[in-house]
This record gives sequence, C-alpha cells and structure tokens, in this order.
Amino acid sequence: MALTKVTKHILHGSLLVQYKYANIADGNTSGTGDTAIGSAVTITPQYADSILENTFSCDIENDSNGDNNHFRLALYVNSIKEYEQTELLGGPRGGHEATHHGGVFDRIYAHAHYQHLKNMRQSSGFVHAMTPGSTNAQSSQVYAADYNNGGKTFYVREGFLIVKEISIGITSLSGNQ
Amino acid sequence: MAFRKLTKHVIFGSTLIGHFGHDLSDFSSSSASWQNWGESTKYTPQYEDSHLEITCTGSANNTQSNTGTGRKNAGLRILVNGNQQYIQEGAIGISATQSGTHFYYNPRYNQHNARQEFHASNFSTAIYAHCAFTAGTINEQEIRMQVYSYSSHNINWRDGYLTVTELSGPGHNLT
Repeated sequence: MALTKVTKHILHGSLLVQYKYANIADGNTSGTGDTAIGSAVTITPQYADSILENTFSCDIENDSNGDNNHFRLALYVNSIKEYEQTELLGGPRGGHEATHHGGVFDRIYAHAHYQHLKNMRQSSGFVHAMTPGSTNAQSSQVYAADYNNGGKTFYVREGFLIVKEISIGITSLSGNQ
Repeated sequence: MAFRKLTKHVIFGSTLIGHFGHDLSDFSSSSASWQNWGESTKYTPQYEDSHLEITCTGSANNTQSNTGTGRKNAGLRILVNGNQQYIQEGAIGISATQSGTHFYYNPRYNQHNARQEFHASNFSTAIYAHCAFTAGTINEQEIRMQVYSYSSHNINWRDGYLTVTELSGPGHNLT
C-alpha cells in the first residue's frame, strides 16, 4: 500500500462542551427589587476558560394602569447580575387631559379624562455570554422587577432557558468581553 | 528522539451536527384560530439521541385602528410534526382602559351627548422564541410557526427567520 503523506493543517474551532435547557415556570412581581422567576439552571463547566452562553425567551405582560410602567428582566449567574434589560414595555399615559365644561349656566362641570394603556404584552428574551473563569458550578437564574415605579404587576410567562458551555477554541478572543 | 507516553483523557464534548435556517414569508391575519406563518422547515436528525434547538425571530405589528378595552393579544407557537413544542400566548397585546364610557347631556337646554373614545393602535414588538427538545428518532421533523389573534385583531407578522440546530445527545445534561 502506498504511503500517504500527512500534511499539517491548522484547525480553528470551538467545541460545544455541554448544554442544558429547561422550561421556566411563570412568575410575576410588583416590587422594584429583583424577584426570581422560576428555577435556576445549573451547569458545571469542564474547563476554566470556557464560555457560558445563556439564551432566554418568554412573553411578558403588564396589566396595570398608570404612568411609568417600565420593567426589567435580568440574568444572574451565581447571584451576580450579569445582564439586564431595562425599560421593557413602557407605559405612557395616553388619551388627552382636556376638560369639558361650560354650557348654559355652566351646567357641564369640568371633568378631566386620563386614559391609560394596559394589558400590554410582548415577546421578549435575551442572549448573553460570559467566561466564568472557574470549574465551579454556575447557576443561571432569571429575575424580574418593576423598574422605577412599584406596585405595577409584571408577568413573565412561557420562559425557556438554554445554557451552553462553549470551549474557547484555539484562537484568542479580541474586543470587549 | 525519545518516545512520549500517551495518556488517556476524558473529553467532554458535544457536536453541532447540523444547522439550517430560512426566512418566513410575511403573513397577515386576524384569525382567532391558528394559522401558518411562512413555510415549514423539514429537517432529518442524524442521530436518535440528538437534541433540536429551534429559534425564531421577527416582528409583529397590530394594525387594528381601535383595540378597545379588555385583553387583546396575539400568540405564536412552534409546531414540530404537528405537535406544539413551545407557545407564547402574549407575543403582542395592548388595550385601552376605557373607551367612551363618560357621557355629557343636559336635556333642559338640549345639550348633546358627548363622549371621549380612546384608541390604541399600531403597536409593534420584536419576536424572539426558542425551545429545545429531543426528537428521539431519525425520521424527518417538520418545524412550523403558527400564529393567532385573539378577538380578531389584524396582526402583520413580518421578517421571520427560523433556525434549526441539531446538537449531539452526549453533551446534554452532563454536569
């Protein structure tokens, strides 16, 4: 059998070391402090230089009246906030503030209308990656909160969280991590 | 040259076996029953124990001129071989608090009714939906997006993009 010459190739690549995923139970909050939504997904990196990627999808709702209905979604890893989306949904007061009054003998009294938007719902989610720098267990947990105006109820439903450990590959990273 | 002893190492790893993505045609519907959004994707897993990760992005626009009061929402779901794998019932929703509930009338002076109506319209949102599951077979998997609109509000579902990724089974739920 003729021998085949072996040539050297440089391989660039990264490996999906492992992954987990889970449905996240529905949750809600009406406080300005971060509240855990569902359960955490815990993964133990095999390599200290691995990348931990978290992707999350859900739908969100605010069924409260009023102004300033802004909400937050956050990702905590081992109780440290790694990523946050603020100003979700929003809630400007709509309509107009004109009053009606007058008529004969002014029998129509002044009455201001303030109308609001509520039951706002939308698809939501986020993507985030980090390097834990450790082979200790990493617990990924989604949190939710009212942004700057407590008492408005914020619902997070249909959550689905995927956690991946990705090897850092041969080439080094560049740019901000 | 001295020989070096080879040692055995356990290597954890999973493989991205296959990847497929395609555009979803824009779709407009006000139907309260589930309707297909764009074309389906057919993917055949290479291994029975593989996991399929499905991701869909896009946008939704409520074109209704008056959403009225109460809950008005539209939803989407990911179907695999006709079975629901993931659903977002509140992919987009909006309503006003009240609509024309105040009247002004003074019969003595024949002053007429007047009322205020408050309409909310043309709300839009980005769409992000994903899930993962194990098909448990190497039979072809048909993946399809479906949408519905509660209370017959017309929604434009646009710029959909769907990806299917086959991940090898051994990398799942390890440590």
